[in-house]
Amino acid sequence: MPFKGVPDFVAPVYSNKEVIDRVMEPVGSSSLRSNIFIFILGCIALWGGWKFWQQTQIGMSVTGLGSPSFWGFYIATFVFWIGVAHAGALISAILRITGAEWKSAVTRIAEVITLFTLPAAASFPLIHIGRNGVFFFLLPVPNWRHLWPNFRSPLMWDFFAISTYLTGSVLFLYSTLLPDLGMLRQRVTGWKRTVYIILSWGWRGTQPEWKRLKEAAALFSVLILPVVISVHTIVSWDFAVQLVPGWHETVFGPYFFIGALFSGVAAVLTVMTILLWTCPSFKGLIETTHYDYMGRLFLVLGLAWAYLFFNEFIPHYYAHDNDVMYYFWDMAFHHFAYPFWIMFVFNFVCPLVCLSFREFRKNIMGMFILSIMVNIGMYIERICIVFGGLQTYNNLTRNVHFYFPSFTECSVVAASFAAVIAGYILFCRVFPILPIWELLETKARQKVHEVAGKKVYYFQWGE
Amino acid sequence: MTDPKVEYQWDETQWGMVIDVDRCIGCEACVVACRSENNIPTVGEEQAAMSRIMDWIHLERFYTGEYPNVRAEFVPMLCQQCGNAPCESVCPVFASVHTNDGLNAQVYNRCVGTRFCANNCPYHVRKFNYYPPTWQSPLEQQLNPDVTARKSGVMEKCTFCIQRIRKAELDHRLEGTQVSDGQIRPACVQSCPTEAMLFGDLKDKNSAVASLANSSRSNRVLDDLNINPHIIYLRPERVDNAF
Amino acid sequence: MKICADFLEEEKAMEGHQALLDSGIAPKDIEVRSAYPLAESAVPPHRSHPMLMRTWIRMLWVLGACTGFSFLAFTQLIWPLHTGGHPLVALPIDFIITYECGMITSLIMTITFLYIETMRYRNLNPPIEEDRPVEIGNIAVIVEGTAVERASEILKSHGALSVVKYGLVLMILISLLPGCVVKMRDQDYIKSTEMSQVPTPHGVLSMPTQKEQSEPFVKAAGYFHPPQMRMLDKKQLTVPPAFHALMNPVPADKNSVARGQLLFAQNCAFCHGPQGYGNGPVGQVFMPTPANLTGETVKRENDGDLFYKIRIGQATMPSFANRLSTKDIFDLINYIRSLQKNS
Repeated sequence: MPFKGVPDFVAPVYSNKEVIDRVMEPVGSSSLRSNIFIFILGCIALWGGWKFWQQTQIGMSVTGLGSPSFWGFYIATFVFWIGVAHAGALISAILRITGAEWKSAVTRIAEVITLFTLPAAASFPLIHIGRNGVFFFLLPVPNWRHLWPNFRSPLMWDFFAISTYLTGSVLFLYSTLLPDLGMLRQRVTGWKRTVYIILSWGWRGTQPEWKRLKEAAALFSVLILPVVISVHTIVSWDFAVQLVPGWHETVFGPYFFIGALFSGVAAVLTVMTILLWTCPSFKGLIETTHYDYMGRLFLVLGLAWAYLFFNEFIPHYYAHDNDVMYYFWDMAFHHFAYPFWIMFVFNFVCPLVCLSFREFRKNIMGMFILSIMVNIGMYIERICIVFGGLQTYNNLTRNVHFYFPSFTECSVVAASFAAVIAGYILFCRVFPILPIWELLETKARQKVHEVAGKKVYYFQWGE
Repeated sequence: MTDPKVEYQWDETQWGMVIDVDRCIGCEACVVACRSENNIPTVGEEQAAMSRIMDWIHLERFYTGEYPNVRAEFVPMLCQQCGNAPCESVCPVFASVHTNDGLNAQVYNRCVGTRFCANNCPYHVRKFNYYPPTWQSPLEQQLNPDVTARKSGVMEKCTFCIQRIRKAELDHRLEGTQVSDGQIRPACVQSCPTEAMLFGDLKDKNSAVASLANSSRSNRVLDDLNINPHIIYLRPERVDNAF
Repeated sequence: MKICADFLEEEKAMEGHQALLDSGIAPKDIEVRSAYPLAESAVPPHRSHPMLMRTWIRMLWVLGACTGFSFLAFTQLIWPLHTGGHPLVALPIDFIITYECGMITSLIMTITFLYIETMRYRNLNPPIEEDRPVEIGNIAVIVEGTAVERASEILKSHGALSVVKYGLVLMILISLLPGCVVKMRDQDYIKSTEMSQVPTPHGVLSMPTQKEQSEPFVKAAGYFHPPQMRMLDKKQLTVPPAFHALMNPVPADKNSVARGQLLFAQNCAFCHGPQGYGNGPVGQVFMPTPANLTGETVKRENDGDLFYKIRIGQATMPSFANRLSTKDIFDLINYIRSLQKNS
């Protein structure tokens, strides 16, 4: 009997039918409270859209930018969204590859986060450019002017990396959604049934289909993981290739990547908890064991992030590198002192202290608050890097400008948050947010073994 | 002191400048001349406070010593037309390109406004149009027709008065003669009362700039970045200078 | 003809599946549908349709990477620009774009191959009987073909919660196609020896003689080749209203049903099968094959229709007027109804 250690995790105790009913409960539901919330979010999104339209008409003067801060809140938000978008790949791909039994509840939650945050991220390079109307200059399409984009620029690498990740993520989500779409077509009638029939490709659930789906899921996991690593590394090279002191670091590649995984896990924890609270039928499907295991992953990533964060500064401090130390000093003790130390506490001290204890990890409210703190901390980190790096690039004394985001920038950023959240809620109403087939599979693979009178559960995947 | 040799062997001229910091008195006549020659708008107090001044040339001031022995150095800072320009490789649409005669050209109608080049310029001499430039009446009557107007959302910077360079070259080509040293002068060079700035072909061994570039006082700003700027600054003749 | 067995537990379903294979049913006739993937070891490999996904994706990754590399090499050669002497595209950048192109190709191809390789198994509108077990998380074992009643027993013995029989619409349609000559009633072979008088509410009908109806029966049974399909005149196909309105005077008690069972075994089973599925050995030589007496069509017919069909015959089914008395036929009808109730 192959034991994989003695896991705490026990598959859902409900019968198959009940699992299905519980997961399907939010699908097709619409409560007044939820509708009002979506309406408010829609208003915020439209408001941000209008403010963006104003920006295209008036010019970038509506932002708070000035020399040398040519990049500001939009770029910081762009990097933040890309970071959060790494949730999907991490949870889905890594947990599938390592064969973790507890992955079943969280994979689709994470993938849907990616589904909405990645387009939000990809919209910011289009929002922050000065002449939005000619954004197509960036596209490598043969044209009469015989002009071609510059592939030496990291923005072009961004374009390829993000589109690859978005395609891969959408296809991954869709392929694992197929069986549940097949199940959904049974539960609805009329035009909705036709839509689900078409979306599910007539999925029937025969064993050859399952075999091929599992093969496709395995292929996707293995393929998407290097893509994920490359995406945020390439985004970090937007900064690392520049001469700006504090940005011109080789450590930025892994630093941004680990930071992305870190904020991705935080985002998944936040969304998991909100789902658990707003869909009471999920009790028993998302359990404290999930939080425990996610918390361990969270701790590891937090420590890795802290390791790379310290590596960003300590070598420069040792080498008396004036430019970088000026940047660091300004950040830590001058203009960015409050945000910087808040970030330090939220990203390093709190996770290290809290997540070391199993009791904390199993406490849902505690984990939720910690995940929000880490989300805020990582956002501050991106802000410190983007704002601080440029502001302190003052080797010639002329440029002194304290950049602060303007109302327009805040509106557009708020609109992106609203769009992501509203999109997520609408997705949860149309498709099941927990993967039914994976939950049932985990249930089926669970075996019980009596050891010294105590029941021990283990999982036999049989492959 | 490094030789101002050009990294790549171009056949044509390599335009460069020599600026004598000792001679510069900080009068900013070059700034005014540049503004009028190149249709640069005045941004006003509010925008200037947001560090959005559009001048293509500005003066950096360095103060040394204590009162009453304070000494000020004025260093005119304009686009260095770097041979190994950090702004050229990062523009995603090839709006910042290098010409055969050693200039860094900014193509206004190609610029999308990503501002990547401005981040990467260590001299911070690139300017961004945050709004459509306007001139208060009657200033629009003194606009130079030889210079392209820019619009909102594009980057701009000093071009070594490329319109003057091209005009002189074309005129000489029509006549069949060669441009001689000192004939082409950008607006800032022309307006300097102390003749602190010199413009010419760095590749021409007989030119004034080439010979001054070899002087014992010559150096370049932020030379350690290895970006090969085409402007050579002549240090003030002082033992205790900070520059 | 299909049956769909509903299983709650995976092991029982797998045991049942194995038992079906052991009893000689071809793997292609069996299908196991579930709401989640069953353990690999339990499902026999489908050797006729191996998975080629992985091989193809690997090859296509290489193709995608080459495309990306060529794309940038093309950029290098065809779009020269003065860029300060630097190469238009540095090699490390070419690697980045090559890698991304390879990845996006393989990602798109994975889902394309999933689509292609599952195409033969898919059905945009599967029968509702098959979807019901999957809908509630159970496992459905579907058996198709001739051995369905044997399969049904095997699966029941292995713990199937229920076994649903259903036929393909096409089969029912085919079974309705008539195959007899025009004016069947006038021909010699369907006229019976005795002129039995059937008491009907609307008068007496004359029945065919034995001589009239013995011929095709002998021919069919002796020669083992399907008779030519002959179309009945439409008028002949429809059951006359007199018969249609006939009520079954014999109560469906135990004796009647038992007698009916005996008669069925003696007269009907060799064509219609022991349980009335239409899979009797003799019946298979006919075209169309005998009707499924437990199917929807026969269920819908009332007793009078059945009486007419047994008495007069239809298509390749001969008249049994010479062998079965009226009461016998009504006992038989009671038994058929009990079969339908039990299915």
